[in-house]
Amino acid sequence: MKTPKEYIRLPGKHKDLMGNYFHLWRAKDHLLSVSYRFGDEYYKRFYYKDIQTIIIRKTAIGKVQNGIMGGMTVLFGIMAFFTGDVGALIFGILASATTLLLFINIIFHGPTCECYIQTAVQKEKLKSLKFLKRAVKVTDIIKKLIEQAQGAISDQELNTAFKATASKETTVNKDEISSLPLHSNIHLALFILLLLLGLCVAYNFFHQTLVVSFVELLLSLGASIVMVMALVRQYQIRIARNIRVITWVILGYICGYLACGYALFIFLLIKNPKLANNQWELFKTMAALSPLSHPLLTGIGIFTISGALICGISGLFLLKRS
Amino acid sequence: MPASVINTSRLEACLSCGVTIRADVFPNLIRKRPAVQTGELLQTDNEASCFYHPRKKAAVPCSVCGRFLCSLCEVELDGRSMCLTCVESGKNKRKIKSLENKRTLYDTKALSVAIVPMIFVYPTIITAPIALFMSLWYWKKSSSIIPRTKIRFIIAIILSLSQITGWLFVLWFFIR
Repeated sequence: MKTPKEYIRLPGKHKDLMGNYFHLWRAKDHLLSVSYRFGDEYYKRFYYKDIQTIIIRKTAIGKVQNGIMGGMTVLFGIMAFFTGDVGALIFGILASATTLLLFINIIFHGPTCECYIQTAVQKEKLKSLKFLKRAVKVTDIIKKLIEQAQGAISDQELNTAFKATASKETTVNKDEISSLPLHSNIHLALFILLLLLGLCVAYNFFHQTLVVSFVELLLSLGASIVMVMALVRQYQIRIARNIRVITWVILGYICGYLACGYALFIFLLIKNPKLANNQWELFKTMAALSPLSHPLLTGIGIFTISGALICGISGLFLLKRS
Repeated sequence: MPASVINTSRLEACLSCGVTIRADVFPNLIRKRPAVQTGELLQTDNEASCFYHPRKKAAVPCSVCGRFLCSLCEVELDGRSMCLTCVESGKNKRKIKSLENKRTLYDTKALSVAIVPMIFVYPTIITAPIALFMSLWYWKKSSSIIPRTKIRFIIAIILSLSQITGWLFVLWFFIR
């Protein structure tokens, strides 16, 4: 006779950029969370009799990833279509196909989520459950096992317990929370500036004009200053967590944008050392550079446009929803 | 969080922040847990006392070392009563599987030692025998506590043997 397996694999896995790997297994009396790091496996056990809550929270990460991948697919497609260079055409097609595959993969898996499991002494994020469909499926499986170990909770018990907790929390936090402002105009300004920057760079992508380049410069400087103000401000106000996250993403984006601009500036100086003494001429030379003239410039252009538009639109959307 | 959105087994919008959530709450959260037993004091001299607390009455013997334990010292693990010392040594010596929180996957390490140096070619003269040795030495050693096949060891052995054969061929070519 075949002996029953000690551990049965549950759906869902997650691999991060560092090569760490997370998955879940169920046993007779506990849930095993396995994480793999550099040839070692680490285990965390959650006994069914100790689990207090399982929370699944839907996140917008999937939508943002979809937006980025969709935008990249279109932009790389445009790049492949418009540039006459064979190398850029091949690069554009390959890049577009890769981002399209990633886009389809995200759509196939559905919305994303965060899943937490809580016991009396810990609250742990189950990293392997990052897609909503899988998280719900796994929760349904675990729920039955937990109810077998603990019994079911009655509606009356639940109502009594949560009424008491809610009234206690309300009295403690009411004054503290209500004293914080709800919205931030700085964040609104930041998202609008990014949207304008994206449109400006998109216009410059096809028609290089000095005026638009100057506006782009002003917008990027403005966005950098406002971003710093927004980062400071978001810790003094009651603002949605996803808006805080997108502000940090914008910091990364602006750093990348400035780094690209600086690299271009140094490259032009090395190529034309005479321009070092004439800032106006240098600016005019940079403004006259066509992003379609070189695949690297096209890549920087696509990064700037997609980054600014995605961050700006997502930020405005999140602000409106909150 | 209002009780109306809890234990519905479907996704609901939180009335406080608007985020879509599913919250499953279990009895352990709201039911009172039994009070911790601190051990009963000895009433007469004839009663057996706890090994660690001589003034407390022994409640149970340790299933590993046999020492008498009071209710405070007793640790229930996998249906057995144990003392803290045996739990600690069992964990350190990896004799209690349910306390293990880390294991080294030698099969993955052997495979990495066989594959990664192939990028630079020359280091394989040293790493191929190491990968072969690791695969054979740790073949029987338990790796993961979850089901795992020996395929990584097999691939590591095949790769390391191929590399060793390759180097022997190069050596033979130069000697000839």
